[in-house]
Amino acid sequence: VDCVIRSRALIAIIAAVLVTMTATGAAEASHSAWAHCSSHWVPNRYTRQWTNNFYHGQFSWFWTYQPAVQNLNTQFSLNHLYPHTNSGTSFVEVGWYRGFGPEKIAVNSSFYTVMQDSVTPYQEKNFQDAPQNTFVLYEAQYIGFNFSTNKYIWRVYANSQAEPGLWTWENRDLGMGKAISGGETNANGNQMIGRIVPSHLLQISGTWYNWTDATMAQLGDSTFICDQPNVVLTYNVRFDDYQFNGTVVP
Amino acid sequence: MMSRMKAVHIAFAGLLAFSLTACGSLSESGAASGAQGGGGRPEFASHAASAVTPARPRTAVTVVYVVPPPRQPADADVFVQTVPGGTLGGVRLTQAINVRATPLNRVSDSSTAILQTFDYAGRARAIGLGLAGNSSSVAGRTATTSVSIATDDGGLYRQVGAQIEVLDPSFRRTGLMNVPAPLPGAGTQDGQPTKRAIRASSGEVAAFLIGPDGHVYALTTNGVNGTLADLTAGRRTELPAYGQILGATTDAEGRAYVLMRDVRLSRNTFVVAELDLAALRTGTLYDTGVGVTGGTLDDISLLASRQHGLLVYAAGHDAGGAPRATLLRFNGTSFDQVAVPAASGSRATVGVDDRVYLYSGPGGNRVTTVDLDTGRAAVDPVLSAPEGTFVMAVFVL
Repeated sequence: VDCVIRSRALIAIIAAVLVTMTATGAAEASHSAWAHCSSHWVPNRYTRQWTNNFYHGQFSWFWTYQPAVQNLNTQFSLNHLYPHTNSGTSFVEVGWYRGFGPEKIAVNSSFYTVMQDSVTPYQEKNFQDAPQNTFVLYEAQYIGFNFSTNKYIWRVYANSQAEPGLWTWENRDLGMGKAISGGETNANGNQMIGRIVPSHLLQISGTWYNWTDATMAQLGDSTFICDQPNVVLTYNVRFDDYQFNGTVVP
Repeated sequence: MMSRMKAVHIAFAGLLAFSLTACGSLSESGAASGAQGGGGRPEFASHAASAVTPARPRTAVTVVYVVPPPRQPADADVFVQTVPGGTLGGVRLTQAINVRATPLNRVSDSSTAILQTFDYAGRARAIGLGLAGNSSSVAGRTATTSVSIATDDGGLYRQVGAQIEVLDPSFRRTGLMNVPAPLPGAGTQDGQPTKRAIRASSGEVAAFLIGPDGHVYALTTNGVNGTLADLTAGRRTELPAYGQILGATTDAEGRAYVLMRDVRLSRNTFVVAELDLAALRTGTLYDTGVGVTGGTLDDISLLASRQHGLLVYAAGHDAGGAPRATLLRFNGTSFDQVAVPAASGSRATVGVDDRVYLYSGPGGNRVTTVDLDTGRAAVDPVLSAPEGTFVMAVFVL
């Protein structure tokens, strides 16, 4: 009982801090995410799965529709994938979000992409509305090396693999990346729902693999999962058919 | 809802501006938490630029260059040429695309340099470059990380996954230890909370260092915090907020310097933090004034010269794609600018001759040398690689 009381007190303190930071406008509301399972406070809520090994590409079909977002001007809910370095400081990310974006208030779920590396601060680009109520492809793919800048070239795709893709990034650190997929939102009360079927793929040196238990074993890799306690999931399936449906609670 | 940081990023997008003002000391932070070397304020904050031992004439310059593949992604051919009269002239390495030289990150002489070539899969190949006729090369040794350092006896420390491997000069493993894990914590960026958080026990080596006593140190980070570990003596200290480390170097007096983004500060400039290796204590934090306020920053390096102290070299492109370059020299309290051509390259090396060698990226096949005594910077035609190639690493030994 004492533990529960202490936990509730801690949650209350954290909530108070959150309210204060929101009031002062200091809270970050970005779509990028690096948050493996952690008991430490982070602004956003998430559910996700990730690999331990590094890959050249990641491909998913995300069911793209309209999660309930209480305040589209300040909050968002999204699905995304992003290869990243071990420390998480460098990544290339693509997905869809509904709600706040630095360049757009997405009334309808829309495409976005993000990049950060060790010398380049967070950069986010917001795009057009995504096709609704359908599975849409998303892909982040290493495509080469720019000798003029000494950076790795990554291209992200949404809805179509036609060139030149959604956007092309150059990343100083990300020759390969650990794969991660999932959903994220920045506010309590928002829905966070995702379906990643019929395929969820990882690429090494041009070969695509289904993200399954068998493939993980074949590649000597492991899939890790994390659902933050604030995310109440009503349905959750992992790996190649990754599905979740939940609402964030305080 | 847009944070101040994000607003700044957007406002400055499209323009690279290495601001060179406000290069002074930021704070005198005192001992790091958990330091085992004793508390108290460090006393080395006011030293002048390191001037330790006279420069000696250069003996050989080894230039590593690549021939870009005709289309991406593909392997590139890598060549090594040593000029003049070196020991590895004409060695050809293949199936590598990106080459980073492990910096000779100490002022004291090194008997062996380790060249690392990276294939596009990010795996490292370590090749030992011998000196004074003792040439050797060991290719095909792969690792999952790019960080390593050579010891005076020709051995090697390198990170492999979550562990640090110790190899003797013949690449036989003689030791294995876990990467010292920094403290977990919620991420911050430019003073603002973000959604970044690192799981406990995660960490990677940002740099290895060798102190004047020969001890090998690992500087690790998890994106939020850092750790400085004396691997030889089995000591460590925590480095809170050392979450984004770009490089590190040492001087002959036992000081280490860390180039990083201080995640606690509401600024976008890179800082140099001073560490006392023997005491495992943090010292003064210096603002380089170099930041990414638009355009692109391709690379930034922290270097130690024998007679001219600490140097910082940053290179990138402006919004129009024109290359930009900034070389800074530490004067003991702040950084002074040294003029260099804008297209000198994205990487820098300091030789035992105390010259700065600029190369790679927009430098193409050229190597630009900077004489810090005269301030003269010029392309060295002797060191240039064939047309159409890119110099990726330079050793001056």
